[in-house]
Amino acid sequence: MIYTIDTDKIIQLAQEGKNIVLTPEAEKQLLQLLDAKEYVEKAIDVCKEAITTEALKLNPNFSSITGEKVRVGFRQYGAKYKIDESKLDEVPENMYTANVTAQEVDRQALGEIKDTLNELSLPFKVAFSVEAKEVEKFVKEHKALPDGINEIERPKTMSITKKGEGNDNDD
Amino acid sequence: MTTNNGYIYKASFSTLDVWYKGDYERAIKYYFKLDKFQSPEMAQGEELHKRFKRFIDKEKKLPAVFGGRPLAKPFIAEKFLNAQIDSWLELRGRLDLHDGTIITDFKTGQKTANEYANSWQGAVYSVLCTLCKIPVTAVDYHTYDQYSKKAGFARVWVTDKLLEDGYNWILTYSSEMHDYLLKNGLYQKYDHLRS
Repeated sequence: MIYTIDTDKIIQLAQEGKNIVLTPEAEKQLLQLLDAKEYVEKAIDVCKEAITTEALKLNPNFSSITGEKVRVGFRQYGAKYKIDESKLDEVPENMYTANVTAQEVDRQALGEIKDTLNELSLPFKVAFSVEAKEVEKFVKEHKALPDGINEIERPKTMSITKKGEGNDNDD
Repeated sequence: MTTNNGYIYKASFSTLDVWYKGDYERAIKYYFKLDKFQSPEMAQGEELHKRFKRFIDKEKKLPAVFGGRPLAKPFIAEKFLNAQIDSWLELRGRLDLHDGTIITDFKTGQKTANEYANSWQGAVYSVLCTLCKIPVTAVDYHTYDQYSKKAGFARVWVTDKLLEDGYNWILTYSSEMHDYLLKNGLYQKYDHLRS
């Protein structure tokens, strides 16, 4: 299959895509853009796999190759180290901080934990996660939010996906 | 226009890089070799370099920790180069290894191969090789962290842009440091200490 990227066409599709707000037929333009994105992303994935194979053949310690305008290389994400809890007593204290999480704590226990931590002069943060389904049940019944619960003004970003991919009900 | 007043600035990547990063006092100490202190880590690094060279000379390939690539012939392990760029400026450096058209630099310590690849060293050494008419198409960094016992590898392709940018970088910071040394009479004071 031959896939030609016509950048002028891409720009035209992008501009015409906005018409989906006014007419359903404009979705053809959006579909073409999504297909182009999918093909390019697949091509880049194939390229990454091939580069990895060749790079490790060149040198098993491969880290990166830098050209004039492109750099390819391995990246690592996330924490670099972790604690072996079985040897915690041997780890110098200045090498870690411990954050304790008490899970699914009821109101009474929460109060007691806060009092204890305050007595120990230990700084703490409490993170609440709201049971959205319970809140929505309440709102349906009482036509208002319960006291102490507020709706968050969440920023909105425009998303274009094919129906059936991702969560069509994202809210 | 930079003059020399009889003094020639002998540029090397290590000194220029320190000057470029704004550590002027240390750059001056490096340049005139005023600080003879060698840390245990530096001594260990030097010892490892000597071991690599002995291995390369004997086995005609890279040490296994660096992948064991057979070397193109001819190759040279540890080559000192210098090139006159202007009446006031000479560029010098020591290549750890040159085989075929690849310059290889061995590094020990905790800095990663990528960090070296992001530095100006590759560009400077490529300029030096080009001025000395030594063919170069790539600069390879082989790193060995003697603490974690891990090795790394990064390659930088030598392009016309890299050479041009490297040349400009050398001229810019060499002239800056040279002018400073002249204005502050530091050549008169310390130049005799350089071997």
